[in-house]
Amino acid sequence: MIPHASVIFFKMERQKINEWIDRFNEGSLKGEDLNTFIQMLHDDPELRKEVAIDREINRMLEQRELLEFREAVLKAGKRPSPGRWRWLLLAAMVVVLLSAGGYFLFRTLPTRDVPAKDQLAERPVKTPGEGTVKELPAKPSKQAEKSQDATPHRKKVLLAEAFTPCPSLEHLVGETTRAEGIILLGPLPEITVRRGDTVQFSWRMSGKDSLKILFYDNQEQQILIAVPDAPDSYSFPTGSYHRGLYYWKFLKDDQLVTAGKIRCE
Amino acid sequence: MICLSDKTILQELKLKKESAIHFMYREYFPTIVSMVRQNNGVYEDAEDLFQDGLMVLFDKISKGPLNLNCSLKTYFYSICRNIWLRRLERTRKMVYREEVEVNERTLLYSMREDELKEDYLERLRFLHDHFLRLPKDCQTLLLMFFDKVPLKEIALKMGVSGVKYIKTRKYACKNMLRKKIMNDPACQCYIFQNGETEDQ
Repeated sequence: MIPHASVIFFKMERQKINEWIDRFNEGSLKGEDLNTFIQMLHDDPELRKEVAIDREINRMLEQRELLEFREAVLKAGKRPSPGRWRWLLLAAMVVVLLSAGGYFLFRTLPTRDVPAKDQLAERPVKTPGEGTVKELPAKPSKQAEKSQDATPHRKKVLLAEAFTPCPSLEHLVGETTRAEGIILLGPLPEITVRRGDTVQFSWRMSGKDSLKILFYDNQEQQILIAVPDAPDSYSFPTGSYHRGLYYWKFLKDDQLVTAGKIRCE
Repeated sequence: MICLSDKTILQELKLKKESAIHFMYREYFPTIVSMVRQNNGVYEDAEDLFQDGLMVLFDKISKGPLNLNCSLKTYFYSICRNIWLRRLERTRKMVYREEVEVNERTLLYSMREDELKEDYLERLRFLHDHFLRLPKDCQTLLLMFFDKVPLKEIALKMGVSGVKYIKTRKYACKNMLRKKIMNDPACQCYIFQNGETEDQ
């Protein structure tokens, strides 16, 4: 007579069960061992699950080529692993803590300031020579005008505020229109760079239409209009701007091709 | 910036070259994101879908030459759209919003019986992710077992003397993987979608 599964479980080493699961799915478990294991499966739903998962693992391992290809895909795309939500949550917490820290640091340093937009406009914008760049005169957004009215003092841009997404531009990020004859190869719609890095725009275009890249800060204030000279690339130098969130619109014949955002840290 | 022709991409994909995958990410991914976002999905859905599309494409080119009658980008878009449609049908999130352009593209690609099925792609992604997070020695060991490498050779490669240890280690590695999968809250969703696993 075969004893009840739970009794067997307690008596049996885990190692033995692992072996039996493996051999059962391989088809090499025979005789009395097989009968005992079938009885255990009958009585224990968790063990049944384990066996089912093991079967799935075997099937996955048999498709070795797909596994190797997945590895290459993950390396190329740097996709987060199954625990990505935990990591994203952790990253979000770090960002919140840093933002809060930055905010309080700012509050405690009364003279600490970030260059205001009008000061930025006075700075020469470095371009690597392949694009003509027009620096616009400060054109404050409604939000900026409002805050200027309320506070006649020098405007302070808090670090955390500089990274607040702009709802009206945010929904455009990653959107592509049906503009024909042009493919934007880079950058990706959402990228993070260090301040001072250069963001490389590159595209493939048939024809000689006029291109423009418009840059905005997170207050929807236009900070730059770039008219690239080179037929297929433009470099955006972030060193001339303070840390924060920026948006760009890529236009062909004044028609939107695509848009994206740059997080400059 | 390197541009690759469709033929080159397919050749390189078959060899699992990261350069081709990277190129496809750069060139095709934004379109997939846009399609998913317009159809009740989010960026993460698009990431998963893009990977699934790549797996289908790789599976196809591994089985034989691919005769395209349209651009690879259009073909790939059709694969992804097809998977997404089935995914939406399965999850009953919404009724797909029809678009003329999308319908035209659909004609270029239709799913075959021997193809990787949509729900299996999800399950495979889940299993692959867990497997690739195992310690490297476990990954190597399990793969060698499945390649039917003789035990003595495995022991030699792993730098151990006894074959008994190799077997024990194999069971332990398998057990580790099973536990990781079972403890993942998504397991119920991917492995036991209908109460039991399905055969492909």
